[in-house]
Amino acid sequence: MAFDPLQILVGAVIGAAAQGSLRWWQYRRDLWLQSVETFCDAVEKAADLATEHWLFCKDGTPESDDADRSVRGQEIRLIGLQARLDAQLAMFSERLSDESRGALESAVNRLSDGMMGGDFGSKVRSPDPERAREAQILASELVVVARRSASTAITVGGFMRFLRERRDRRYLAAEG
Amino acid sequence: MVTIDIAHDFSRFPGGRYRSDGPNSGERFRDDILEPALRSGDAITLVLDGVRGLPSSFLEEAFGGLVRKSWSCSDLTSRLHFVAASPQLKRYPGQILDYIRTASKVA
Repeated sequence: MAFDPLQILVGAVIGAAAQGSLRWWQYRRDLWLQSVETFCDAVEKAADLATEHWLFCKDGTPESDDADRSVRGQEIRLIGLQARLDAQLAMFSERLSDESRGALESAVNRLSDGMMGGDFGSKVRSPDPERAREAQILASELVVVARRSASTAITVGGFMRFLRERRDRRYLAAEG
Repeated sequence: MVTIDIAHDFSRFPGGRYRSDGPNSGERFRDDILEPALRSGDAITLVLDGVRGLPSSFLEEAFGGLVRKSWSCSDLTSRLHFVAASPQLKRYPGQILDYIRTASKVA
């Protein structure tokens, strides 16, 4: 049985292209999953800082100035962490279905409200152990939602749904 | 149509709930910027781009506080429009509408 060198060459090129595409897809997928994990780490870090923050009071007196300054520093760091969460969320949520993105944004809003709602930023306030606890619980819920959204998105069905929704959005945008 | 660019017309660093909490509080934003615009009767476009963080206590007091000051939920949700071109800010309109709806349930 004779082999045509051209056929062998074409087969090799197609095989290499398929292998390369698969590797590229795997690389992109791993990068995306890593961004989800980075987001989850930031959520946990923010929740820990929020818990610490809400266990302290702010007296607003000259005697408590040092302690108050430390709490003010936590407030600024929390605002920074929230901005980081928002940026990381934006990075990976663009590949999610509308339903997953909605659930995720809702969970982020709840955590954001838990961490920085109430008397956050006020000059004088008491410790709030309930809010400190709530930050941990809301963060756990958010991490679960984020990982569940990610695991749904990487299935074939999830990817097809994302493509369908993206096509519909583009169609609606073109329609004006 | 009234346009309020929060970063330009108010502050790039909004924060705090009450006036006593600082110069960029939700209470001041509501009373000095939002309510006068709402009294004009026009639709309001709020530009969120450019702000450096929107703490929840600020948002709740500014928007939930409108409901507590007798603005109706339906009036607010129909007249307030948001511009958040930055991907990092896209979730905030939803959060603001949540505060309005929650405050109207409590009221």
